[in-house]
Parts: sequence; C-alpha cells; structure tokens
Amino acid sequence: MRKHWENCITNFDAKVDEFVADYFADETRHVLLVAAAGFDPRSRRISQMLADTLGSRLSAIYVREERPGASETLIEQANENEATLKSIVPDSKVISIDVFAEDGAPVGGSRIVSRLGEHPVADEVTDVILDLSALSIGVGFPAARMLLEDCEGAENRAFHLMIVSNPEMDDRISSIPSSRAGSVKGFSPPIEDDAQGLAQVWIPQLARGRGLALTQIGAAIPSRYKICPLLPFPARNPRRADDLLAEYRTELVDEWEVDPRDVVYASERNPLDCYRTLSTLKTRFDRTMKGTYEPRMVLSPVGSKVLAAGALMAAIEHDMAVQYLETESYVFDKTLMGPHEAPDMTVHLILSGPLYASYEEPAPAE
Amino acid sequence: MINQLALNLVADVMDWDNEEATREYGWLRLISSMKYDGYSDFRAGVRFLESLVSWLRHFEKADRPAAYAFVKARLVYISTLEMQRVIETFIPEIVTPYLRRSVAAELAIKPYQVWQSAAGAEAYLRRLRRCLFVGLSDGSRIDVLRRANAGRLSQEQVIPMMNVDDEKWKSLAGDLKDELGADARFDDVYLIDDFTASGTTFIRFPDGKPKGKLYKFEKIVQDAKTRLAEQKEDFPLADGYTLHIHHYVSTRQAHDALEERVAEANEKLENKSFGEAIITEGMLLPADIRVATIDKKTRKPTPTRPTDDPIVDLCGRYYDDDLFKRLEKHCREAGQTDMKYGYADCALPLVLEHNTPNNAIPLLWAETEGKLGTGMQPLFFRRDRHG
Repeated sequence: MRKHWENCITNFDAKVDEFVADYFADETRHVLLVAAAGFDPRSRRISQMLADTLGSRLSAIYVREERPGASETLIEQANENEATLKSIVPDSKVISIDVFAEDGAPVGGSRIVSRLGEHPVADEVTDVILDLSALSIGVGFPAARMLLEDCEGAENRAFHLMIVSNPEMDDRISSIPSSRAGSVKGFSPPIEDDAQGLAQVWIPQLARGRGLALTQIGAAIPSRYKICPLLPFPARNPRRADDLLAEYRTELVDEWEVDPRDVVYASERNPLDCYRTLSTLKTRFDRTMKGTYEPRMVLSPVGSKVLAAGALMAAIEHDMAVQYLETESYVFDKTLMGPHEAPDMTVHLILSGPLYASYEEPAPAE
Repeated sequence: MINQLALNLVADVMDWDNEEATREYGWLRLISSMKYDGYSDFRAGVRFLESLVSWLRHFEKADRPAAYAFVKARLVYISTLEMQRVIETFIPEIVTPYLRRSVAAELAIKPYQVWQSAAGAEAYLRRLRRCLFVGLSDGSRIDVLRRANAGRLSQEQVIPMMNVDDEKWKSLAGDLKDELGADARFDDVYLIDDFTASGTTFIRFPDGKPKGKLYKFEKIVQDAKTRLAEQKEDFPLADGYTLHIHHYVSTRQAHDALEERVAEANEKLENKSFGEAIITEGMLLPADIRVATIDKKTRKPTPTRPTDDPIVDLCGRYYDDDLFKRLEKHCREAGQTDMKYGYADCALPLVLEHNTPNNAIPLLWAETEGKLGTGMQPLFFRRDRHG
C-alpha cells in the first residue's frame, strides 16, 4: 500500500530546520499544524520553527488534553504554553479534549476525531503537519490516522510528522495511569468471523517508570502467543536498553516469561527503523499462523515518541492493534534540569503526498 | 539458566549476605541470559557467571565490590541482536539520504524531490547500483548486510573483503556494464568495518610512510587498475570515486581523529584513486563513555565521572606491564608508555559480542602471568590480532 514508507523522506536535527526553511519558503505552500498545547516544554519548538518561515501562511489547531488529576502547577504551565503558542501562530484555534468521560472511560481518541472533523482542512492547505511531541498516544494516534487518510484522499496535499524528542526528559515525566486498559480509537482491528482462534504477539515498549501500566495492559490482552518487548537501540545512551532490562526484571522474567531471543531492538532516533522492524515481524508471524490462528500484533507504545511514531506507521500499514492505559495525570520533575541537559532531537517524516509520485523501489525481500 | 550453585559461587566470592545475594541473583540471571552469555569466547559450562567468578577472584576482597559495581552500572556490552540493528540501519539511514542528495545535485532538484519524478526515481536506482560495498574484516558482517538488503543490493556490488583479485574486478565491471551500460562505473565505494575507538589505525604516516587499512585498499586499487589497463580490461571504479568510511560503531574521538587523518591522507597520498572521503557511523558512542582521560606526559588519569574513580584506580593497580611489552611497537605509535587504559588510552568500558576491542580497559580482557606486575585475568577474553 505505502511502499515508499520503506524509504520515507526523513530529516533529523539541523536538517529539519534546513528543510523547513527551504521547502516552506515556497509562497504557494500553506500549512495546517496540529499540535499539543500542554505543559510539555517541547510543545513550542515546532510551532516557532514553522512560523519563522511561513508567517501568515501557517495556521494551527492546538489540542489541549484535559485530565482530572492535573496539578495546579501543570495547569499553569499549560496556560502559559497555550498563550505563547497563540502568539507564535496568530491564526490558531485551541480545542480542549476531555480525555475521560464522566464515568471514567477513556474517550480522548473519539473526541479528537470528532473535534478535528468539525474543522475540515481548508482547500488552500498544501501541507498538514502533526507534531506528535507532546500529544498522548490516545489522542495523537487517532489524529494521525485521520489526518493521513484525509491527506491521501486529497490531491496534492502532503502529510508530515514532526517530533521533538528527548529521552532523558521523558525519563523525568512520570504518569499516573488510569485503571482501565483499552484499545486506542481506530487501532482495534476486527477479528474475522471464520477465524480459527486468535494468536496475539504483544509488543510492549519498555520505558522508564511505566512498569505498572504495562503490567495492567498486558493482563488485559487475552490469547497471548508471545511477548516481544521493544527496547531502544541504537540509543544516545548506549546503556539505556540495559538499564530498562534491569528495571523490568520482574516483569520480563517472572510475569511475562520472555524468551531473551524475543527482545526487539529499534533505533531511538529514527522511527523508520521501528516501523521496518515491526513490519518484518508482522510478515513472518502472519506466514506462520496462516490457516490455523488469526494472527494479531498488539502494540503498547508508552515511551519515546520516536519509537511510538514507528509503531504508529506499522499499526496503520498492517492494521495492528494498539493497547494502552490512559494517563490520569502527569508529574514533571523539573528539579534536575540544567545547562548540562542533553539536547533535544528533532525528527521529520513525510508520510504521503506528491513528493512520492514516482516512487517505485521494490520493498526488500526478507 | 543459571543454577543456584553457580549463584552461590558469586555470593561466596563477593561475601554477600542472603538479602544482597537474592537482590543480585535476579540481575545476574537476567543479564546473563539476555546478553552476556552470548559472548563468542564463552563455552558450554563456562559462560558469563563462571567468568565473572574467576575475574572477581583475582581482585583483593576489598576491591571486588568496585569491580562488580563497574560491571553492573558502567559496562557497555553490544550484543549480537544490537549489532544486527546497527547493521540493518546502514543502507536506509546512511546510504539512502546520501544518494538522494547526490541524485538531487545531478538533476538540479531538491533532495526531497527525488521520488517525485520518474527521472529522479530512476536516477536514484541507477546511483544505488553504482555503489560498491567492501567489508574490511570479519566484523563488517557482510552476510548480515546482504541479508538485510536482499532485493535492494545486487550480489555484484558487495564484496566481503578488500583483497579483490583481477577476476573479481573484471566480473564487477562486467555485471555493472551489462545492467547500466558501457560507461557504468562505481561512483561510490563504502569501506565497512565494525568498530573504531581511536581512529588512528585506519590511515597513519609513521616515519612519513603510509600505513593502515585505507592505504592498503588504495594500494590494492592502484595495482589492480594498472594490471587491468595492461590487459586492456575495464576497471570498475570511476576516476576520483567518492570514498566512504563507515563503522557500525564509533567513538566521537575516533570520528574526529579519522577526519583529521583523512585530511592528512588527502595531502600526502600521491595520485590517489579516490576524490572526496566521507566518514560515517551507525552508532556514535558519546564522549563520556570513556572512564578516564589520560595525560600523555604524566600518565595521570582523570576519571570522567566521580563514580569512575574506583575502576580507574583498579586499572592502575591490577596491571602487568608485560602487556605493554607484548604490544610495545603498536602502543608507542599511539604515544603510550603503558597499557593501563587500553590502546591509544581510550579507556573504554566496552565489549562487542564477537570480541573485546583492545581500546577497552585491559582489566576487562587482558590475560597475563604477572611477569612485570599483577597477573591479569579477563572477564571477556580477547582474541588478539596484534600479538
């Protein structure tokens, strides 16, 4: 379907700035940015970068995720961010999404789809950009799927993903999970009626401080054929995967009984590596299960947004399920931040559009 | 799976009480099965845990906690699965963006416009076929590279080692011409190796004469080119081809040193076959991976992090200068007068699944009898290519 994803146009770090300055200098380009207006300090970066080149040709929809357990401090930070974002992109709207219904059910995914549906993309828009940096999985994934399909259905409109990532900062944001695990809106493929049973491979992305959430998600996944934990490697900190193995020792050994050979590694820097890895796994698994079980891959991307973006692409392309546990509130530890901090990493991908009009390279055989 | 007796061995060597032992057993079981037992030198019956016990025993009891803490918190071990990931990212992350830029320059378009037109897409495929990939050692794992790119790379553009004979040069040239026309030559040559820590051995000029893998390859190319010209046969490399030096894993120090060395080679090599040289890596290890920086004159180590102090101290005390004598010529070229912190004083806490680099701290890999100091016992035995 999307063969060009094997060789998706990607830019990293300084090349992202160069791309933006060059590609969007074209006066015919009009951009709609969809991004978070939350407490996360990374939420301004992409807006500023785009506004610097596009000026009045940039419009934005900022999504504010409202959670009942948010602390006053985080609400203040989000208010401040929201005001700044509006000043960076004057032609912008803020839509507030209540992530939970009154009965506590996670509904952020349904609500973002319905709210974005109320704001159809204007005809003059040539490029839609989703900034995943500070959006939660429950809101960001359904938004990505909807915007991608919308762009693919339009003529001459490109869809981009952008992410500002900082694994060290991710480690500082801890979340208090809700108690109900469930699937992300739009990422729960139906089971065929004539299937002879379900065999699921669960791929939890191991991330610091998410053990409890992953245990709860895992417990809610029936018919588990295997568990293949996803770890970041290559990574900026070459010991990050080892430290995660140590942190998840009890889950890996005692609860999930993971075979060491089933650990999946994917680059912390490039979402395409994660996409390709999961795609290969899916192809092989399908081949093995064919005719006996209904195979299904279930992803739980709870950590870095770069790996999550790769998981998103694989989930869209191969109709994989995404199981998660919505976050009731976040705790952001700013106390350790200082000038010694590792720099942010920026990633840009073009997922669809006229730039792939003549892409023909065959996908590599296995 | 590690059994209780084996774990008791560690507890005994470390003098752990029950509580501490229980806590550590879990980690040892996990990391052995997930990673360390895969080290190529370990054998059935004597794997990581047994090696760890022997290694810990060669320290005084008071020093063992520091040695164990180093292994637990600071050692970087790159496993087979991890190395495979780095190899698999080579073509998509390094080669493809470069080719897109090259094709864009050729066609006077932007790199992101290459897939937009049929001309760009076709030029990209032709340009990819005109890349030659050359393995420089067993560590370049050309088998993994080939498998990861089946359907994308031709068998006739990947060669497992640099010692190419004339028949192979001819067949490389013939296949390329058959596919892309009589004028087709390789425009880009990728020299691939697994790891570099110092970057000093790839090309160097001791006593003014060139040495190292880059010079060796250059000589092979020049000699073959002359022989084939005499036979009136085509040589497959384009004049002034772009040379790429790619390591799957590299330190920042090596990357910078290679840039300098290649610039020196550009000046000193006469009539060299290649034009521009580009240095890339799959995984760049951070500058603070080394446990210490060594002053060349005083030989005084400065630990990188405060927590590195104990292991740096052990490197100085559990050392046999016989190691230096064995590698003296090699070490002196790198400006060393001892071998306490590894080749070129890299002081790396690093082990690769198929071998331990000599730039890692010798405490990890050296085996000596103690002729000129303390006998050294390896945790991960190194197969030495230098003596």
